Amino acid sequence: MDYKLNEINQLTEFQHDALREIANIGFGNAATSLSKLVNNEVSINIPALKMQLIEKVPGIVGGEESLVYGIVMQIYGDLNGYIMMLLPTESVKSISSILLNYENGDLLSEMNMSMMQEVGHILGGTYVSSLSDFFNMKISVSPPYATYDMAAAIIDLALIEMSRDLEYALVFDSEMMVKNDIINGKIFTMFDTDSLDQIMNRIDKMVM
Amino acid sequence: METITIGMADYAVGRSPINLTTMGLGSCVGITLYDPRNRIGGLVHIMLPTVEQARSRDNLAKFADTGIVQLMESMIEKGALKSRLQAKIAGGASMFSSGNGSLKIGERNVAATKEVMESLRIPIVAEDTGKNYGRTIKLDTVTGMLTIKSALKGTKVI
Repeated sequence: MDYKLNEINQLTEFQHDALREIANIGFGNAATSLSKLVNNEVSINIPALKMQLIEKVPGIVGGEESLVYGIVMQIYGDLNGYIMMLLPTESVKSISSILLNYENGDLLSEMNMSMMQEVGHILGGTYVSSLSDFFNMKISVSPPYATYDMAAAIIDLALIEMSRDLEYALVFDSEMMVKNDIINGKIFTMFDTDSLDQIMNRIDKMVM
Repeated sequence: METITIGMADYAVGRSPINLTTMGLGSCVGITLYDPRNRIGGLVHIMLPTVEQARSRDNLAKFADTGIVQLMESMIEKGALKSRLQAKIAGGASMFSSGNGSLKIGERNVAATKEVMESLRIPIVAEDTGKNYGRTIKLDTVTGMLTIKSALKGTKVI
């Protein structure tokens, strides 16, 4: 079967639930890696799933101008898209103090930025490898790009790349939180519509 | 004072004293056109240099070549005079320092924007482009001044 989807309302309830479950596995495993890193319990909410017009994605990030650390990685292979993490300043401070014993230091220092890239890479890698295992697909994640700026400005490169060939992207949007909210942030992934076809075909095979 | 917020790959036209703003330009470019006599301003937030390379052409405001023309035509329709239009541009950053080829899209967006302006014979009277940070811009249609706000590099008016 070949799925050519343009809007979320073309997904059946079963497909929608299946996609959400898959996102849950990916984000769940990523949260577990973060939990090990910071040695504390991490929770994530159930990811929201949207077939979104690409140029409307900044609106769902939550505060286009809000100042965040952004880590962006490309997902490539059998599935194509992006994984992005946006963390508020306070969360980065908490991560630095846990991992680097870095109190009140310059959060934009090279050491801190590369630590954040590494954290992002571990989370992104876990997310992608859990999807790889689940679908038995070959999926990789690029080295992370990280910067500290307005949320919309951080994600616009990924949106530009997606919009070369597409109007809509499948967006999973989740929030994670470490105990007492000392670390919180948004993770979201975007897949192109060809990837969605691949995923839906795999799901159908699993069900049959 | 009323402010119209313009999203990614969108445009709007406003008459004095309306302000036009777009938030968090990274590699995208914000282009404003202004007719100082009639005090009509317009802003378009483009994502890509040209419609030619695109598979999907539904939204013409996404591209520098078609988006700027669309903005200009809409302004003329509302009473602006083409020969009086002045352009200001901002954005086109390379947000991530580890730059390889595909990360140069900001530069290509700026270059395409300048080409379009030249072919339309609209002068670019001021610009704040490139570098590695995001920008929020606001056009004041009373004065034609463009305020550019960044997260860490302060605010300037061009």
